[in-house]
Amino acid sequence: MNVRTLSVRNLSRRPFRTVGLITVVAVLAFSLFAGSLLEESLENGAENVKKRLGADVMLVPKGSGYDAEAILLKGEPNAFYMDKTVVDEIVKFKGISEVTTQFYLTTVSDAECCDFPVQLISFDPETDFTVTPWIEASNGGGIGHGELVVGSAISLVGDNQVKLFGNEFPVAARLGKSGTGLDTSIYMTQETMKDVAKLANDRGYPSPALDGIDSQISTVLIKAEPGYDTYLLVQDIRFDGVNVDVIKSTNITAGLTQQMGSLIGYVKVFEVMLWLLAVVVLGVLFSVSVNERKKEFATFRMMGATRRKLSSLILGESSLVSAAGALLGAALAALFVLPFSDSIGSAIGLPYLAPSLSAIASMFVLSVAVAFAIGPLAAIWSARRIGRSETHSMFTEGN
Amino acid sequence: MSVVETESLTKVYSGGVRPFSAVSGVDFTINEEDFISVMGRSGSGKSTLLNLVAGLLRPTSGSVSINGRKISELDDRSGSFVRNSEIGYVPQGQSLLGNITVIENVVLPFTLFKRPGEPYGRAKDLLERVGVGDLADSRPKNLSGGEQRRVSVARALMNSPSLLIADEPTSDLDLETSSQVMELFSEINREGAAVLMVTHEPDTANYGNRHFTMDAGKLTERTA
Ligand SMILES: Nc1ncnc2c1ncn2[C@@H]1O[C@H](COP(=O)(O)OP(=O)(O)OP(=O)(O)O)[C@@H](O)[C@H]1O
Ligand SMILES: [Mg+2]
Repeated sequence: MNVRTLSVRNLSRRPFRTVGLITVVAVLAFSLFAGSLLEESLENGAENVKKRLGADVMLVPKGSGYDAEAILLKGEPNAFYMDKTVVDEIVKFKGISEVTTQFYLTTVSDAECCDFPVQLISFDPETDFTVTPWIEASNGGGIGHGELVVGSAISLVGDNQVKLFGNEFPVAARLGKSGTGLDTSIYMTQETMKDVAKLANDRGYPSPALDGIDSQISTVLIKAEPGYDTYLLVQDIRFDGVNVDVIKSTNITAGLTQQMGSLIGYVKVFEVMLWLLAVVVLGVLFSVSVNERKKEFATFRMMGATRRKLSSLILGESSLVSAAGALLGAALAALFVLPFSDSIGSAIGLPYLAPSLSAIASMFVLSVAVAFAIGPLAAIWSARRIGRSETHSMFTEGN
Repeated sequence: MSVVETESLTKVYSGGVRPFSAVSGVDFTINEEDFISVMGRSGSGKSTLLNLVAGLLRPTSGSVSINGRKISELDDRSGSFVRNSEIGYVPQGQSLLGNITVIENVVLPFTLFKRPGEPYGRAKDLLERVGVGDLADSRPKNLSGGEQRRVSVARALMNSPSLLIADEPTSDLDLETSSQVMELFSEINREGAAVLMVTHEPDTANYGNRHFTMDAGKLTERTA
């Protein structure tokens, strides 16, 4: 018979009340952990978009800016073209360190690789600085003619191949999950793109790429000189009247952060309110139960229990309830949120990338700790009250 | 040395409309062989007096000593320890904890402070002794009023106190059970514990060997 066994007995003899208290804490722990997972995944996603983009400035044909962002952020494939000569107009500007171009093509859903339309992107291995680092990181080498580099959501067939327009292409590398539109993209060289465009055409999908691939491009990607203000570069391009839409990578991430910011803000406010509510609800319940149990506490006093002991009895019960609720809630959140990372991401429509296992673990611990704190905090008032009151009055009132 | 000694013990309740002196200037001494009965009208301050003696209430003025230590001046921990180890308290009415078994209730006072030894054997002996040994593993709510009272006596005896305090120990018991409980008290008293008991019933009071009357906070001994 010690305080802990007594607490356990007291709780188990009032199952309805105990389950209620545990539920309150569990709901909170669930929302804390689920909320922080959401938040962290969104931040991760935004960070990844920036990294994957690789370029400081992206130029697309006038009027295609929105579509280009949708490719990156929402994974909505699209293609748009402009004349290759744009590059010559660009290179003269100050502050440019590297320039490369990409050519886009989209598949329709019968591409045989995938249930969804896929963004095909060809790049120029000679000048590329955006995709190559990722490929190297992924397979340690490069990409040859006829080979593909695929995003993480693209499914492979046979011996590491992807089927496009009836033809199988070997996969040189598969990129890690990014939580962005790049997960549903397939990269290849210009030469390979020509082959693919031809295949598409043969299958009855007339492709602008067939004639245009040598003279047309979809985007110009620019890396600024280190330390050069990209804002100035963008100004120059706009002033000069180059017929393009300009996308700054910082704008994309800033836009994302802004959209996320309000979402995360709501989640945070909700969590804080829920936490306070839980403390108040539990506080009231504990206070009611302390009133009900005055006689029990008076009996303890009479037997020689110190005031401290009485407080620890109340705190002990509340801590047990709180610990059970916190663990249960966070575990349920892990069970229901982690496996559905992908569908949550697409439901939100923002880049969404689950954090690393260790980050998840520390968020779990933190959520459990914050939820656990509710019990003792809610009980402390009752505990102090019982610790201070003169016991005789507790005794005679009950009789 | 006397078990209990009070010096102009006074308790004024200041919570009400005007301050109310529930116990005023009580001087008395309880010796080891005493079995004291206190009678008096309702509201005369009997329960207040018992609580003062047990150190559950702080006197407004005056003092209480238990075996030479002024319990009214000790800090909470030391005072609680004196109460735990030297005083057995049998309160009015039902006072067993409902969520634990009878024997666990009896063991409880033993566990409140660190002590060497194993309490269950002694608790079982005490239950046998008060005549409810077979109920050790029952829940208190399944016991009759008389059985519950015996269990609370066993609990009061758990730490071998030198003073047994009882507040109307027979008020809710039938005549036969009352006399059984009182026989038990007499026995405990003969074995060396002083008894301080409040009662409304002359029959119960008769078990005592010293008789007091409480009237408006004043305590006076009746001499036969
Ligand atoms: N906490 C308190 N605050 C104010 N007055 C109190 C308090 N406790 C008791 N009293 C008053 O003190 C007086 C003595 O109370 P006490 O309980 O000691 O009487 P008693 O002699 O035990 O009565 P009874 O025979 O009915 O049990 C009563 O008038 C009571 O109303
Ligand atoms: Mg009374």
